[in-house]
Amino acid sequence: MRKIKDNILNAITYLCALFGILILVLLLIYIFSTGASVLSFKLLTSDYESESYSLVMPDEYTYVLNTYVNSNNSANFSTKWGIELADECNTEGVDIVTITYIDEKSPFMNLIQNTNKTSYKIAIGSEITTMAVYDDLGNYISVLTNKGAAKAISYLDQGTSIYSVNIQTGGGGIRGSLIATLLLIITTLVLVIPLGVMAAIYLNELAKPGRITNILKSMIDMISGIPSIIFGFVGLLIFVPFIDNTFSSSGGSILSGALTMSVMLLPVVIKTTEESLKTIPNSYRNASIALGATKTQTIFKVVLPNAIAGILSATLLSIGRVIGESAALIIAIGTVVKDKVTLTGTATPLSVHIWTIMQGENPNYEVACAISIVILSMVLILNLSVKLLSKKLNKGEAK
Amino acid sequence: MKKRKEITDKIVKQILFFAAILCASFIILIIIFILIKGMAPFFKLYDIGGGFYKVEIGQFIIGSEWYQYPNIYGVGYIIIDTVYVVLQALVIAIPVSILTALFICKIAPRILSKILINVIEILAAIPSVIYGLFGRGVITKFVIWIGKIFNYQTTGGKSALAISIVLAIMIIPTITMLSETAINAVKQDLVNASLALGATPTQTNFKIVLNSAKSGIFSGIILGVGRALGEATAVSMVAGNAGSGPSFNPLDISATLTSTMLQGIHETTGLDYDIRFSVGIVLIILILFSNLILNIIRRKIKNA
Repeated sequence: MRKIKDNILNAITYLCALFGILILVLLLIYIFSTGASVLSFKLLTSDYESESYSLVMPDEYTYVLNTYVNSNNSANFSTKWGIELADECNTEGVDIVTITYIDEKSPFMNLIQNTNKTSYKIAIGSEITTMAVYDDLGNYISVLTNKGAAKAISYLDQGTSIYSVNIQTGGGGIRGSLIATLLLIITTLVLVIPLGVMAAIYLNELAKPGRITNILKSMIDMISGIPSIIFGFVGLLIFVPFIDNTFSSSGGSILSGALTMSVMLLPVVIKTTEESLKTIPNSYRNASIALGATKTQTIFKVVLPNAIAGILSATLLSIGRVIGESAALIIAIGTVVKDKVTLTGTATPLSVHIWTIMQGENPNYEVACAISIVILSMVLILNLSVKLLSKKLNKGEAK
Repeated sequence: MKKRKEITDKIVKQILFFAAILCASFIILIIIFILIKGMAPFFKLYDIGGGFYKVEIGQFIIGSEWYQYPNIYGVGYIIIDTVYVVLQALVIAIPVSILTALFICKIAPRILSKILINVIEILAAIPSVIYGLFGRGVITKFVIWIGKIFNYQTTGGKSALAISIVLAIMIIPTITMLSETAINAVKQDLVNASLALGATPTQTNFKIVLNSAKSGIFSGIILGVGRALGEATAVSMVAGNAGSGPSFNPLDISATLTSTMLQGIHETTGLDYDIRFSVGIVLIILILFSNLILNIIRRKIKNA
């Protein structure tokens, strides 16, 4: 009887322990199976907003009959026009036809923009949305691109002069958000690490233990109890207007986001630094003072160099938090994905980029999962480094 | 020469002191600004469509509808919904976390327990927006499937149940980690005494180890509740933002304080914008209040 009861309890324990593993495996399978197909170098380096260009041939252009060399022996090469097309899948998973090669003498190199009549060099990888040509008799032939590259080439070869070409560049990429994340991390660190380390030094080295120090410490502790969404609102209320007034920008910016994140990360940085300060033996300080060094010299030449591992791990922890934070940044920076990222302009870090593309009727799960893979790998690498660092730190202590 | 050094010492100390004061003063700044902005809807008159309105504070607190033109805002049902989903999450998370911690510390072989510790740490490190994505992509499907069993048409799976599952997954690492510490701190003498008295290892684990670790485990639960109440992004992605309530059907769409604050914040102005700060005050009060109550319970448990 007792045995049966024990076995049942044990079985329940095993099941519960499995739950965590199950969730992690499920999450990883979902993220990777959905996101891996669209995660590519192109996704990381292309712009989010796609731009469309309507191109025409200048009136003075005379067509010269020419046979272009198909150097790659590609199936979708037009020897008549010197252009190679390819079937591709864009970041949203839609089949498109893109230009993969243009011969230097091809008429396609002479196209101009329809709107302002300036010349336009077609970038390799651009998508052809629509195209139309005339044949010998002046018949209008629409080159359909929705049936694949081979079909488009066969239509194109029927024509002898170009009527119009509409192309579209990339789009759907996360280059801007990657840069924004990097900028946000750097500005946040520049703000929070010096301030946090300074406060930690004061609290641990200079402050006399007593009521005031305790009050200061508990006030800093209280910051860590506030949910991140409240920080977002604080940023919106204090930092966004502050940055707007100082730099005459409008709305949320990376700077206001960085200020918000700094306040949020202060307790983490102060706590981690303090902990590493506490591991420095008092004999170091006493020896330095005994040798005639001032308090300032002791702090900067003895205490700080010994606390460097702690400060480094505080930095890594902060980077991890900035990469993962979304709620506060959605509010303090905004949700508009930008390609041109500036410190005082709005932009989205990767996590907010996910939030933005998940809004609306048809969320883009593929790209969201691809970004998640990027974020997850960054966060895991950071966590691993913190672990290795603290291991090294403990080893040093044991010596 | 000596004097100059003394002066530098003093200046450096002043600068460092200023840094510490600055860090500590942020909490006051946060509270004051949120309070001023959040109280404004109840005292200031807002120009809405030509008329001037303010929000009745009583109606705001007990209201069962989020918005009605021009100045009716109610947060009462959202408070109840929030508490409801957090309780549901706790029902899932508490047993799973405690037993996982017990497994890691007392039952599992060394290798397995190391793997599990790492799994829990990774789960703790995953950002909330990814949990939201997971919730939207997988858990809502699961909710739709459950809805089909009960012959109930869900709103694309967005529901109170989905929120609770996502929240449970997010607080399991927190509670597990603190429970681990608490269980590891249980004195080996107690365990040995129990075994010597003829109790089986399982009986010892459940009756002695968990019982002595309950105070520490409860601290984990308190932290978990705080995290669950304040979680915003993941919750918003699976909530569905119900406009009225409260609703106790787990398969129905729901709303939490955080999801209400987050929805469309950049598209509104005036009263509709300011009122979100009032919701923020309610959220902070709810977190402080739940913390207080749970701490009282913890003290009772500890003394019992």
